[in-house]
Formats: sequence, structure tokens, C-alpha cells
Amino acid sequence: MTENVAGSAGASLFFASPATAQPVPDVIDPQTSTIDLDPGALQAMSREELCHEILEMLACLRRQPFQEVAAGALYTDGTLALDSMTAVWVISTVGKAFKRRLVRLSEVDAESLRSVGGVARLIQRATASIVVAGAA
Amino acid sequence: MSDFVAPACNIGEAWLRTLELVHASGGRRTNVLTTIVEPLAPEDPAIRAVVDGVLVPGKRKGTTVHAVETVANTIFPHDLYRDTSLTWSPDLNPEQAAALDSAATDLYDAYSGMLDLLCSADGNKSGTYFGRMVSWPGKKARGVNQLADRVKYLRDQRRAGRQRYNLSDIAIGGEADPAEPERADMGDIGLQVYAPTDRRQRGFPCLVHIDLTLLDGKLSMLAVYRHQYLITKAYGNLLGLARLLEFLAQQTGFEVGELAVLATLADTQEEFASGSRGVAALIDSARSQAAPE
Repeated sequence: MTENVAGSAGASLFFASPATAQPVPDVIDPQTSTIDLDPGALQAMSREELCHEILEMLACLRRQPFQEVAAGALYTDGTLALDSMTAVWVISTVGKAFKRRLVRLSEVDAESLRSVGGVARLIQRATASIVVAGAA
Repeated sequence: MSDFVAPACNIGEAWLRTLELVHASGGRRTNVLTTIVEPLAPEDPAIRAVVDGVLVPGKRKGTTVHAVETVANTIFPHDLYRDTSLTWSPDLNPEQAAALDSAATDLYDAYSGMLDLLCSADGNKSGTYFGRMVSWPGKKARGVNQLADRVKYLRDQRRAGRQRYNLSDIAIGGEADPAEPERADMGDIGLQVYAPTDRRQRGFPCLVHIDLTLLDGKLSMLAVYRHQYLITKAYGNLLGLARLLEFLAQQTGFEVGELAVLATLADTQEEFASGSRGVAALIDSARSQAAPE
């Protein structure tokens, strides 16, 4: 697995330590983290639509507004850059909608795990031949 | 022979000092202790850049190379953890406490839910480090969540005001699989990442145990590695451990203490670095650019 998110050199590792805690916000976590995916709908999506769906998933995971997630750093393919751990989470979550493991990571090209576009392409390949119960 | 690396103020300097010491001693040393006094101090960007320059992902000289962040994610997947900007305390209001708890629960659930897929990666057949922490023995969801247990135990200590009065040191070490989990004394249970069934002499798991100690209101960590690969893994390991310590401190309200790593075998990986001269060149490059401590 490969990361492509800019390193954290020079910055705090990820949040303020207790000794330097920032002011506590009054209102937090306004969104739920529930992700409900329809496998039939996912299969019918274009690449662009699937990319959008993945961004929605990430907004849910991070409980951030969609626009905030979408505004992140881009990869060379023009879609949002992902760290490989998050990419695996997306693939795993989509796999649950299809009630199966979509891929074996040992057989996945690391390049596919570096962006939303790469993950969308991988998901489309992995789900193309799955027969979804109840689908037209 | 055992070696003690002079404590450093940040991850990069600690990594570089360890590499320098082991290189000066022939490239391999037993029982090397590395200490970072301020694990959350900003990284030295020059040292980090040198490491990033070496760790371009791919396979070279028989070694699969992962980026620093990838290695760090094996110990703490920080991209799956939301920063609530909250630090736990007994006085936190219910809404804030719930938000902090849900950030941790979402992390545990997200990671546990992808364990099956993660274990399909090369090298993950026996599980993953973080998987072993949140769902022991680490290959399936719904295992023993050692991290959640540690958070609960440490919050209880905080509620009891132990850090204020410093009644005693709290050392946490032992087995993740107590014979009677419901009766286990949390004070004797550490973060276990090594299973009795682990047979491999090299590779996973190199990290075998994490010990937590509470003293004077500060939470410190010692990680034991049986084989520390100083070029391809050590920097990412330190970063991941620092993030894990930060998570535990945030979730329990204690201050971050020091981070120490004991490598039972520390290896400068001369084969990977094109020999002793390659290691020396890497050290020279990093040292010449590092900020003076």
C-alpha cells in the first residue's frame, strides 16, 4: 500500500496535545456516520458518479461537509488524493454492500489506491460481473 | 551489547541518532534503546525529506519499500480518526464526551470492519498491528479491543485523581488473552501485538509489545521491537507510535510523556542501502540538513 498525502513534516502529528488543547467547540458532530449503499445503484453509476459517491462516503467517515472533503489535495489523475488506508476502507465498505470482499489486496496495483479515481476504477472492475439480487 | 541512544527532542533526531549509533557499531546491534522526549514535537522537515526521498514506494533489492505514512498507518491509522479538538476529562459535558467517544468508536469500527480486506495484502496474513490492538487476535472483527480497555482503565485512574497525587506508577503489561477476561486486572494488561502462534523469524510481527506507564500525570510509552529495520521502517514506526500515544492521551486526558523504543536487534540494512557507504551517505545527508538540537 502506498501513501500520497503530503507528509506532516513541521506540523503537529494530528491534533493538539492536552497541554496545548484548542478551545473546546460548543457544537460538534452534527452529522451521522451511517453509510447506506445500494449495490445496484453503485453498479449503474458512471465513473464520475462513483467518484462523487466515494466523496460522500469520505464526508460521512470524517463527518465533514462534502465540499470540504472534495477540496482536498488532488492526485495526478485530477481526482482527490487518498492515503492507502482510506482507499482500503472505501473498497471494504463498498464490498459490504455487495456482501463480499471485492478484491485481494495482494493482487491490487498500488496505483489504484492513491486517488478517488483509482479506487472508483478498481471498484467498477471488481463489481462489473456481480449479479445483484433484485437488480433489473 | 546493549546501547543507549541519547534522548532526542523529536522523531527525526531520535531516528538519526539511532542510525548513527548502530552504523558506527558495525550496522547491527542488540538491545538498542531510543527515546523521544517530546513525541509530539514538530518533525524536523529536513530529516523527514531525506527519509521520504529514500522511501519511494516500490520493490528494490529484495525489499518492499513503503512510504513513511504507510508504515505509520500500520500502528495508528490516523486518517481514519477524526480530530474533535477535544481532550477527555471527567468534567467534559455529555455532548462533548459523546463526540470524543464516537470518534474513537468510529475508528475502531472502521478498522475492524476492513480487517478481512487488509489481511488479503501481502505480509498481512497473520493480521496487522492495529488490528491486534483493536480486535485481538487481529484477523477478524469483534475481537478483544485492547485500546478501548486501556482508555477505560486510564479514565478510571484520572477520575480517581491518581495523576494529581501520584499515588503510584501504573505499569500496564501482560497478555491480551487472559484466561478469564471478565475478571482480569486491567493494571496488568498491556497492548499485546505478539501471538504465541507467530512463527516467522523475520517480518510481521517485528513490534511485539507496547507498554504504557503513567507517572506525574504523564502517559509514556515503550514499544519493543524484535527487529527494527532502521532505514525502511524505523521512522514510520516512531511516527505511528507517537500518534498512538497522542490518541491515548487525548482520549484519557493525560499529558503526553516520553516515547521509547527498545529494538532487540537494530539493523541499518546495509544490503538495502548499497553497503556501509550507502548508510554513511544517508546519515551525512540527513545530518548536514538537520536543525541543531
